[in-house]
Amino acid sequence: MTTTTELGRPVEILLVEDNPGDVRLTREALVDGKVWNNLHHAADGVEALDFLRQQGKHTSAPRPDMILLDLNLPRKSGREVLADIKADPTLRSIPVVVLTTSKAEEDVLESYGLHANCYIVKPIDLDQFIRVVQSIESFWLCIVRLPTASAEMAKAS
Amino acid sequence: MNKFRRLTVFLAEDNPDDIEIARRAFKRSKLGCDLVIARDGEEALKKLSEPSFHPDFAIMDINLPKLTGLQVLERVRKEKRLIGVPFVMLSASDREEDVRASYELCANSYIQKPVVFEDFVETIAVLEKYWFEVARLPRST
Amino acid sequence: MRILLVEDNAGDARLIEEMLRDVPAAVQIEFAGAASLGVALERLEAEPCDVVLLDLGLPDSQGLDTLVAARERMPDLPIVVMTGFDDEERALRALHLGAQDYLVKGRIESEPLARAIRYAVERNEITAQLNQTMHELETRTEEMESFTYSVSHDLKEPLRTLEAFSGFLLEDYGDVLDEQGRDYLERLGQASARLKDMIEKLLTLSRLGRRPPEVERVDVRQVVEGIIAVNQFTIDERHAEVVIDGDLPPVLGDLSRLEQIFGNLIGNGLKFNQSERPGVTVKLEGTVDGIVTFAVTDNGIGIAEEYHERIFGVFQRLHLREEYEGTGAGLAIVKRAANALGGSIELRSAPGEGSTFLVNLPLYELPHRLSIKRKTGVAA
Repeated sequence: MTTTTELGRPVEILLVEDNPGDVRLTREALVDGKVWNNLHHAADGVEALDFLRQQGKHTSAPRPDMILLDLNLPRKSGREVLADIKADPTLRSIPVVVLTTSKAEEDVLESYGLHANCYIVKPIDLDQFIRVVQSIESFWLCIVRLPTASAEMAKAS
Repeated sequence: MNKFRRLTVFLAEDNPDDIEIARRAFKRSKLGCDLVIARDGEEALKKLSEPSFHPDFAIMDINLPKLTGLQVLERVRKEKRLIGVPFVMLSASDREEDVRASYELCANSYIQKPVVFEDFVETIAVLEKYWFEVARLPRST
Repeated sequence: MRILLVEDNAGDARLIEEMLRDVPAAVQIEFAGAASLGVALERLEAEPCDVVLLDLGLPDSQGLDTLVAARERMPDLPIVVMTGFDDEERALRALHLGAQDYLVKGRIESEPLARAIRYAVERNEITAQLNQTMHELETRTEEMESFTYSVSHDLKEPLRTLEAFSGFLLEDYGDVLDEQGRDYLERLGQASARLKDMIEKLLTLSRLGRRPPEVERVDVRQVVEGIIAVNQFTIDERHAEVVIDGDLPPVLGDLSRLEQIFGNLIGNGLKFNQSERPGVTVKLEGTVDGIVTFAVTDNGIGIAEEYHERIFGVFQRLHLREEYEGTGAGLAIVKRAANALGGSIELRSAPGEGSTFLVNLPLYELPHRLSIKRKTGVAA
């Protein structure tokens, strides 16, 4: 069962990930999710920024409500994407969850230093991977308030 | 994270009722948590500036006396020492400006205070599970 | 009274002037002439006037465009249109575009012309007042809604304490209280749960009662199917049935309001229902003039005629709390959400015979045959 968000529209999620298997797993985990969502996909760092800035083939992309970001990406690394997002006043309020296989302490520290909202290590195990994506959903989509309520809500308050 | 160490949760909250509610909610949590409480923005900033104070987690109200939660957040986020401490804004406000400002000032997330106590307990449980079991935090120094 | 006569034909202008001079008038009439729209606007800037007599065929503008351009530049002035065409439909269009009157040249006589001008000025004033009042009313409504919203929101704070602490008391000290003491505490807890429900409903009301910032095509069938899916558990549990009968056309609206409208109606149909197999049917009733009517019919307990109006009020309940749960705000939300979309709700029901709620909403049409009138003011 899917519930409509307070937004009256699906939550838009951007997944930046070059591994097709992980994309597929994430999609599967979110399709069965509790909250109505749209998962968009960018395969590398350059495409991710195109999507966020509505450039290239993404001119009609919606503004994502949150971003799931891998660190090791072709063309432009996740760190650079993260730094760009958090340096851009129009994008910096979008929560970024770093989702990567790296367990290196310097990656963790660097990501938080670049103001990632959260760092999560991708489990190798399939079931665990699905469970992690579901935890991300039940935290960010169910109990967290994302910075994107409709204009109407903003006006009402 | 050492499983046997008790966690320190920093709570900046001025409403005594909400403090008691939080205290009881944390008492029911799975992980053992010690609450350190600040009653206004200045007190919060002072506590967070103590070099020996390094909470595992911070929960901040926005409408705090003296300095607001957002002002505290802005200053804390400039401090490298606390960069790995998750700051969650927990506020009754549902004003879009408050939500956006929180994220812009690098709060890790924003949660609206649940009205019903059982929902509050549930929220704390999800918070704990997410940040201490799912998320990876830097090893505290 | 100062009349601005916009007419490029000197003979016609002269004729009009003479006609009006012949009329014994209570007020002194002064003329200002202009041979084109451009000149007319210049003259207006130099000296204001009370009414405009506008020929539609001018050197710098032709036909109804002249009127549109004139209205745009002088929105507050009454305009009486003069033209050579005697065309009823065109005249009506001119009135819709904001002309106060439409006169056909060659048929104008002095007495009726003078009256037309006087009335045009009067009507214009009345309309302006009406618009002003409506504007004030809108502002007040908006203030009221945002007041309701912020008050309801602020009420949550003491409620949180009330709800939590009555629970703590019961948890920690329940065993030192006698039965009556515990009963009192439980009532407190229940009351705070109701209060929470009411506050949520008030917030919903104030949020959905206003016109949505954007309306779009909404598939009603999808909305109803969504509601059925979300309530499947309750439906199965009560051996109930919710059926979509035939096609449901799309409407021009917004998703959250439509979910509230159909969600509450279907929910009520199942709740206030003692049939062995509670049933709700949603179907198309008909479409008239761009308004589509859906019928939501249940086999529930029905509603006596005398309550047909009252049930749409906020927090109106017709039953004891022990009989049926709820705050009694559902139908108020339905009505306000429908109104906000430019629609309405009607009810056909009698006790023991079930209820049919008729939901009238703007039909979504492609391409827009008639644009939905979104302006709230009266065309001056």
